[in-house]
Amino acid sequence: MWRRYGDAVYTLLTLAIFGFETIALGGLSVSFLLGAATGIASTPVEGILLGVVISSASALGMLGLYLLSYHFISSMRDRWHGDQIDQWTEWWVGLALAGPEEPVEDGSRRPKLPRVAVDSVLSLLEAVKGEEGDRLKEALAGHGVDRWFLRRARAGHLTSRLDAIEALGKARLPDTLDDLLGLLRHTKPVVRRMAARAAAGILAIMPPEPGPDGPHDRFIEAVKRADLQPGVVQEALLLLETRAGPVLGQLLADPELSDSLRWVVLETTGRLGLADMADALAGAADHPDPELRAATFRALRRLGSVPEGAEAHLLEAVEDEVDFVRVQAAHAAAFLSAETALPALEPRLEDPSWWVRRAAAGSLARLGEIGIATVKRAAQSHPDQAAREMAVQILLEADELTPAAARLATGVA
Amino acid sequence: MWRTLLTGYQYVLLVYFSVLNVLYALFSCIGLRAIVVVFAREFSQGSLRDLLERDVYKPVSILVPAHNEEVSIVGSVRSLLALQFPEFEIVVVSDGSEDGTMERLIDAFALAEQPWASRQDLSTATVRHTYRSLTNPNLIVVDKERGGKADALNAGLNLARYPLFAAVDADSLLDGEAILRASRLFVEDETLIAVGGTIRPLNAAVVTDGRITEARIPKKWLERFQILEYARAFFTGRAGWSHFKSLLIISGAFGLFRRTAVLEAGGFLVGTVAEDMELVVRLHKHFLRERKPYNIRFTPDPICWSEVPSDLGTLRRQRNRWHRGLWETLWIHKDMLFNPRYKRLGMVAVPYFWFFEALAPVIEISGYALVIVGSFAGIVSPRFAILFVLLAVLYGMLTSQLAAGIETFLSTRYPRLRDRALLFLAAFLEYVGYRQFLAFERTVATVQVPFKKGQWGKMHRTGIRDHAKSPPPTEERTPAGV
Repeated sequence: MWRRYGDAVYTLLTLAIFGFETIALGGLSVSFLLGAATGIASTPVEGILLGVVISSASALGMLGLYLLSYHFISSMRDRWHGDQIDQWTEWWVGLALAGPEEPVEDGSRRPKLPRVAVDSVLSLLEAVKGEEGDRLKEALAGHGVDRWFLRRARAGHLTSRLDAIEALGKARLPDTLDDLLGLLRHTKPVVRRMAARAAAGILAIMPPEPGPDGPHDRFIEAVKRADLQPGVVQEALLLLETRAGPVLGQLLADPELSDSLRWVVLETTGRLGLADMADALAGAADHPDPELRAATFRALRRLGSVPEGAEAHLLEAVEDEVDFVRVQAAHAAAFLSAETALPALEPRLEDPSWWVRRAAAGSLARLGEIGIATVKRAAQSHPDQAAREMAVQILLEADELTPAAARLATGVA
Repeated sequence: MWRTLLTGYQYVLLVYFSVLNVLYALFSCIGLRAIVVVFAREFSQGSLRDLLERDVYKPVSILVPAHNEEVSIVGSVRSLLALQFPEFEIVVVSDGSEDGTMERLIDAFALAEQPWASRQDLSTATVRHTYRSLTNPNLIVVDKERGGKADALNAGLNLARYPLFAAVDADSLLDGEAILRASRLFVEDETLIAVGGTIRPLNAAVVTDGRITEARIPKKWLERFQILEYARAFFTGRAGWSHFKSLLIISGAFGLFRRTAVLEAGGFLVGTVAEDMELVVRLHKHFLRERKPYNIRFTPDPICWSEVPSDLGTLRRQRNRWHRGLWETLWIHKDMLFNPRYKRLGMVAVPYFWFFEALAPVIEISGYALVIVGSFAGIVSPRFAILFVLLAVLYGMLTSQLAAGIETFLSTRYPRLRDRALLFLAAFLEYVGYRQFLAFERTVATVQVPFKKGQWGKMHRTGIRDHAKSPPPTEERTPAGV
């Protein structure tokens, strides 16, 4: 969406113009005020004004010229870059399929690759996995690309630093994991965010290595210590994909884990659908923090199962004093047996919260015939109007009622 | 005596001019850094795909208030339905439309009337009917009595089911990834309550199947000038204020909000013509008073394309309304001015909007008058006056070019070199009449504020022209506003 070249020059140009404007306008204001004693149109003031006008015109000309040149050059560059990417992609595909490059005879490093070649292989690596992907990564490392990106990620200007972190995330070279984890302590939040994503992407393809010094443990420790927003941690944990289970399990088992991180772990487990972790989640079902209770039931709802250990807490939570806990508990109750869930959910049809009524009616409708029958009965004859309306709404959404029948039931003309 | 006063006023003008231009330049630098350096890198296509594949998003309700929008409503809804986002609903609220808005929606999307168990978080004008699309289950249409744009948005909010909602004008088109890019910010920042996107003029752009496939420079200079105005406003002004955590405006054409935060603040205020700015100022005020952590920000990536006026009459009425809206909002929240309780909002942002936005046209017009009167009275030498006006023009052009320069880094930009040259020329020509015309209209609006409260005025639009379909007719109507 945004072009990434030419912005450094443009930034410098903008800064130069900004500096110039400040000085020129400051000088003009001072001379104008000083010249007030001898008359506003005195020669020194006019001279300074003329100077400011001429230099502003020059700055404008320079800026205009830069923009026109950039426009012209970038159009040509985009075309050239597209062609080059195609050629290099072809070359990389050949390499991935044919086998490793010939070893360099004298043991010296291979020549540095042009940037367009690196761009093309990084794009390719997003699609090519397995043996072919490993071959491409080997080639990248052989050309010293990892070291080059790491140098820029550690000490470059913010622009090149972010580019380098993104490239390392795409390349997924295991040797760069610790350097990326080190960047989770960086002072700039954007660097920490991007490093967390890149590190998670790498860890996702690394084989599990049990033990306190394994990569998973190092990742967990770095994340726990880093100042990251819960959403960023969640994104990183989701990027772990199939490797997420052990990491999430280890985090859940940590009694010292902060509430915000525990909330993230509950959310992520639910989103990844790790059904075998349902029992581990149940431990937070009676947590004193309502946010964590709600997150537990939301996760169980996503997993589609409520373990036995959590049933009693869930039934209690359907009547929790906090409405958003009741909402999540009512949703999760759809995965209890109909006999257990129905007596808990039916009274919630007249809950003061619209969201709880909706969740309860929705869950009842998912309990099978007995649940649908309950909702239909509520739509026809529930003494509470809000409960009737919600029941009609849910039946419409479940295609259990036609719009015409719904209009009849609610008296809409 | 009057000579002394006029001379003194000249000093005021010069200092005012200097401070304003230094601030513009500062915002240009910040805008550039925030946009190109950070956003260009952090929100790449790859990371967006990761979001989609891994379920990292918050679902969004898109609210579309519409009043007599038969020209563009179907195209706009089609474009929204084609958005790349896994979970969203569209709530179109026809606010007392008297034209064929409802009929066109019913025909195009097979709407079936049905009762709707909506919440009544906010009181609104009577909802007459609620419809659901049989072809697109995530499309809901509300037909209600006329209550104004804010009232329509409140009615939509009562129906919205998701934690985030986007307010989108019916005559606007969103980039395919706009919602995705904006909503990810809410995932990453739990304290974020509102995000404003960038608006770019839609006129003359090539629209195919509800998508902008090419940006083109319109034929009319009036529309070209507005391209520069929008670039200045969004790529420098809003980016700069957002950087200082003092963003006061999120355009009504496209903004994404956390539903609970807006409900907590009382929803949209009915009876003002600047419900968008008023809401944002009220959100700031509410969260500062409650001492709750919050964040309101601008992001350049979610881009919304909106039709801008192509005739002087419509432009004049639009700018008159915008300026009255600015005054209305500032007046409603006048207790924030220089109030340390509201921190940098009260001490910097609100005073800036009073003195450098609301009063700016009055100062500008009085400056022109002073040059003329002063030249005749011999207080200002004609040579000095000409040089000063020239300097003002040059600085204005510089600011425009700095902002338009940021747009150069966009991939969907004005592709031809000729277009770039035309924009450069427009930056000069807008100072030959156009700028003075708008300053005059905004001065008039300043005087009209107490007499025209809440009045929108008639607007003339041509509608979205989709190249894959036949061009729609041009009609006179009163839209819900930009």
